[in-house]
Amino acid sequence: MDLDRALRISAAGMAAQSTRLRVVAENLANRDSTGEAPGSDPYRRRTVTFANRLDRAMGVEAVSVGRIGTAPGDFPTRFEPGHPAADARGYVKTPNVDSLVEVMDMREAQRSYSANLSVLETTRGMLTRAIEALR
Amino acid sequence: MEIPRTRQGAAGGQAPQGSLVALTERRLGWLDRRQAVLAQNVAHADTPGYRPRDVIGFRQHLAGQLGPALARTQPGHLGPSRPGQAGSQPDRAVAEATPDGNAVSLDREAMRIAETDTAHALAMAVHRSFTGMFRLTLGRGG
Repeated sequence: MDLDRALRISAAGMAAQSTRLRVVAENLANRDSTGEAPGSDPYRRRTVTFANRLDRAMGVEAVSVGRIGTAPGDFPTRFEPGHPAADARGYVKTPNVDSLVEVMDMREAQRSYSANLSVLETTRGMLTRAIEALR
Repeated sequence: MEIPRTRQGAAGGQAPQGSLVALTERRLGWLDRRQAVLAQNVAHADTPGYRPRDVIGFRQHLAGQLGPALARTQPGHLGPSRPGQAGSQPDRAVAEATPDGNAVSLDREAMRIAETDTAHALAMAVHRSFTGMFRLTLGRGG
């Protein structure tokens, strides 16, 4: 049944966007997590990739989270000699998390989530109409 | 649109109501499939490299269904190569793609979903009104 498949596709899309939102929350929560030993690396920003997954049982191409990787790039440094993670010259490496980028990502996830939700509601309306025909 | 005569009356004559109900049923089936394809497009709004798809037109769908479909009597018989893409084709009206190769436009998909919803409501109304006539004939009230 195609409407049932549509519901599942939308649900899979919403689940993928929720995972993305979770990773954004992780990044934002860790934006000040430095290392503990002198000169050690701080928290590295994590990224989500989406992939097309063919669900053979349902015969649909649902979206799924492909891989949660880490963002490459140099860490910004801050001069703070008293910090436990400061290296010999007194610089502390801070995470490569940019709040603006994260907030933008969050907004995008939110938009996609509501788009999937509205498709789900439309599909549900169609199903309800079809069920009402049985009365 | 020309209505294909799919069901013949028992006496061999035309049964307009019957064929119209059959036509609405096909229309509903086509709209169901379209909704699934559009839901897939929206779900993939952030997948890199995804190109949106749409179902083949209803007229083509009807023309293609007039002949009998090949039956799969054995589990080993080959079906459509990608079940998720059966009956759909890449959308030709793609205007632009993002740098990651994704070409889904959420507003266009929303418009199509609204279109599908309206067409579904219309088809259901036609179906209901005709089945209502049958019920009236059977004496169960409209």
